[in-house]
Amino acid sequence: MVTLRFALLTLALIPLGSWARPLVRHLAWPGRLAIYFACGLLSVVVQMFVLSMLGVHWNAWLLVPLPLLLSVVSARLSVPLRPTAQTTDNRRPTTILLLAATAWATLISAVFAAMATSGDFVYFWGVKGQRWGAVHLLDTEFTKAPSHYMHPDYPPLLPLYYAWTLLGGDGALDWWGAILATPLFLLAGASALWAFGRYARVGTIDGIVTLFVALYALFYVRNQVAGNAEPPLHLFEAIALAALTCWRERSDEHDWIAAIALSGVALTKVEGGVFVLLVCGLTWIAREGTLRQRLIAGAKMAALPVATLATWLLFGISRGLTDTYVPREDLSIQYIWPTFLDLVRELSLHLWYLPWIAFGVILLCGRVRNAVPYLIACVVFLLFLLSVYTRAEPHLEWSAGRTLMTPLLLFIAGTIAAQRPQRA
Amino acid sequence: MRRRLPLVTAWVCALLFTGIAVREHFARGGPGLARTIASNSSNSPKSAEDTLLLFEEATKVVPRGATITVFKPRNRADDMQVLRFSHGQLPYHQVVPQSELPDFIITLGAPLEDGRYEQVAANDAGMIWRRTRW
Repeated sequence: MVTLRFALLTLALIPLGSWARPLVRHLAWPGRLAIYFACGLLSVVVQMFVLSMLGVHWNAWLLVPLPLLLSVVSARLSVPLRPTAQTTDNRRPTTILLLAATAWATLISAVFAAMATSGDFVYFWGVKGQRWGAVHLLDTEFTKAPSHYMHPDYPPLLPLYYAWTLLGGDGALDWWGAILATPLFLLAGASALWAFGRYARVGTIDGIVTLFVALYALFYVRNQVAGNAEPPLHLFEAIALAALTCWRERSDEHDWIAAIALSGVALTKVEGGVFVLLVCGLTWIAREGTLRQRLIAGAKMAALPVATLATWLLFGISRGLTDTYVPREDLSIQYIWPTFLDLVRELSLHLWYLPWIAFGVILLCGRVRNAVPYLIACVVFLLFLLSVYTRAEPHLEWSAGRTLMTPLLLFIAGTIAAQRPQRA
Repeated sequence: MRRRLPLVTAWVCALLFTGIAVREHFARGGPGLARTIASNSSNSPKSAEDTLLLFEEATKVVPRGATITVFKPRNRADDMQVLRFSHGQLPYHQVVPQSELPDFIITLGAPLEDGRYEQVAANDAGMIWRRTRW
């Protein structure tokens, strides 16, 4: 079962990410904890990645001091809250959240019963974490060896998190702990969505978050993603989208948090790179202000995630960690239509298209105009998936259930944006 | 209506999705603590569970640092898949390619036909062999 070391090293990410306090202290505490967790995870992973680039084997003495120091300094900073952020939302959580808790408990139960474990986890996500953690380095030689078939181009965040949990241990990954992190990622993502939504006074946020948890708990079990990179990917995506959609006075209130979360997205999955470019681009276009103001604000927000993505890609290319980026040979226009039909079928999510309909109904009850950038992002992401799947044998049934969770999250962000008061 | 519809939609659909999750959970055996992380996940859960238990046994009976490899004697096409899986499940040992002659071998699905090795453990998934002759 879950070792104490795994649990402690996972929980330690919360204080290590509390340097984000000045950015989120106006949020309700569940949201703050969720963002601290995500920022702590990103802090240690980025350091492990940088040390690996330099060829330095990591240890706790190298990884802990910097985020700890930043957290201590930020705790002593007394940055005043903006006047608009000072009034807190005193509404009590509504009973519908009990339904979210039930769905979440069902996911935990399914993970304990080993019903949600991913094959990819035991074949490469966990194996990379095990290996990198044992040698205290992002081991490129092991990862790129053709006989190991480790998908070397896949971004490193999740295996580096697993490697982090090996610190101070006997060199063996806690496989149970790793799959039980899946409900934790979902809880953190939902908490962030909820806290941002309450801050922006989105009236239906409890209902939207409950729908989100009920759906993603079901998807995680059905698609067997426990131990995979989808749960942390959705955590970072949820934080980024919540930060961008939920504001009171100015649309750039949470740009720093969005930028940090988008960096996490870029380091978690290959399609995360497309998500980052899409979200940055559309935020740029959709912002209020003159073109110059939008360019400056957009560039500030995009700098960190784009630099992160570029660094990972350059590292991968220079160390031979390539695979997906190699052009496919069976790409042909004749496969587009049958693949499109398959994609439309998979969009039902094996729930009679109800997830889209449910969020669509809530969206249509709000200001549809606010949702347009996210709906465009959703459609463009679907077109990206279409281009990826277009081949002689697309086999969408193998992975569409997993990849379609990201465009659905963009659609959910559109729903939240539509429900946000014009000026909260 | 426009104010209540979002909440009603959220309640009805969340109830439905949670109900589906609970129903599917119980249809696959319901709550319980599985013996291994793969006991209920793959297409052949019994085989996956036995395989993981065999690897667990190997971490106990095979001395740390020993060289070891894994294969299916009746399906050598699976060599690469078996090997990459083994790298994760045998953290204390040196997992080597099947082409080498290691200190230990795990065979899945069939016995090893090599007089230099003797069996040290077994379960329904396969056997663990130790090299005794050089």
